[in-house]
Amino acid sequence: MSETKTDREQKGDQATSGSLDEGWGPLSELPGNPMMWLLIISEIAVFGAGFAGFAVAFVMNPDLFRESQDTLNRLAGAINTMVLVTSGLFAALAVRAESEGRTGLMRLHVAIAVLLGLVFLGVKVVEYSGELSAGHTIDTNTFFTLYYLLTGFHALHVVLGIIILVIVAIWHSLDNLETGAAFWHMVDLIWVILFPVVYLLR
Amino acid sequence: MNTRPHAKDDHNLPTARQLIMAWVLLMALTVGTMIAGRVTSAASLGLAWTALLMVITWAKARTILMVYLNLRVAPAHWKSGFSATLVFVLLLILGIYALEALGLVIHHK
Repeated sequence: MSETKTDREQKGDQATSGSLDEGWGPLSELPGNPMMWLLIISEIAVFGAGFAGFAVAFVMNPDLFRESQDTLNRLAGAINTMVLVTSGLFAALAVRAESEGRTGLMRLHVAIAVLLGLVFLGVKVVEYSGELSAGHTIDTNTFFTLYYLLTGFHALHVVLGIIILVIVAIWHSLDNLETGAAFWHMVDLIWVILFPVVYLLR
Repeated sequence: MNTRPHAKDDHNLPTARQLIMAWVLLMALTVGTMIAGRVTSAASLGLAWTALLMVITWAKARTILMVYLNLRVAPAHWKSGFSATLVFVLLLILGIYALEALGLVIHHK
């Protein structure tokens, strides 16, 4: 039987897809987009170095760090942890809904995840306003420099994550949703380490 | 024929029940973080509470990796690799704090 054009195209697609998978080597064993896992590994390394640097700065000047840290709103940080892990749940449920072909439910879950992301940023704005009105700026001391840099860099990831979630909800496919949600979970992962290190360890 | 674009779940995603159980665990661990980290107190934590806080943090980070990020379906070497990386980062932080808590850092006035 002669091979049709469609058959040849399908074989070509499979070959391309197979060679892409092989091109990622061991990363292709990971679920979802290998590039996202490269990003997750990089972010753990970058933030890990930042947290270690924060700890070193703490032990070099513990009194200053304890005094400065006591001005932070620890309860707001804890509430934001709950907000972000709940947002992560809805991002993961959105991927699940997309896998079942339930586009409406997927978009509802993404909308809730995004809304909770905005709540996180709102709490952050309230926190920053409180610190700034108390005269604690980025150049007040080493603690506040590191506090604004680490939390600000994380907040930028939250903003980017919200934009990505909106994009993958509009131009949706299971791969897009899985990749967008993975970025969001990475933001969540960094926060659950950042919160105890910056707000609680003393 | 099923016309849904992704009706066949070949991504081995966690079920809604597994995701909700992970969320319940994360919320409970966050309450544990609040208690161990004494969010409403200005008192120092001490080394034992700091260590407990790091253990809780590891459990939270690992839950996000395994369930939310679905690392549970990856081969064992990836799972243990990520867990070990988290342990390394958190032990490094704990070790640095321990230097101060044990009085091993000399502060020059």
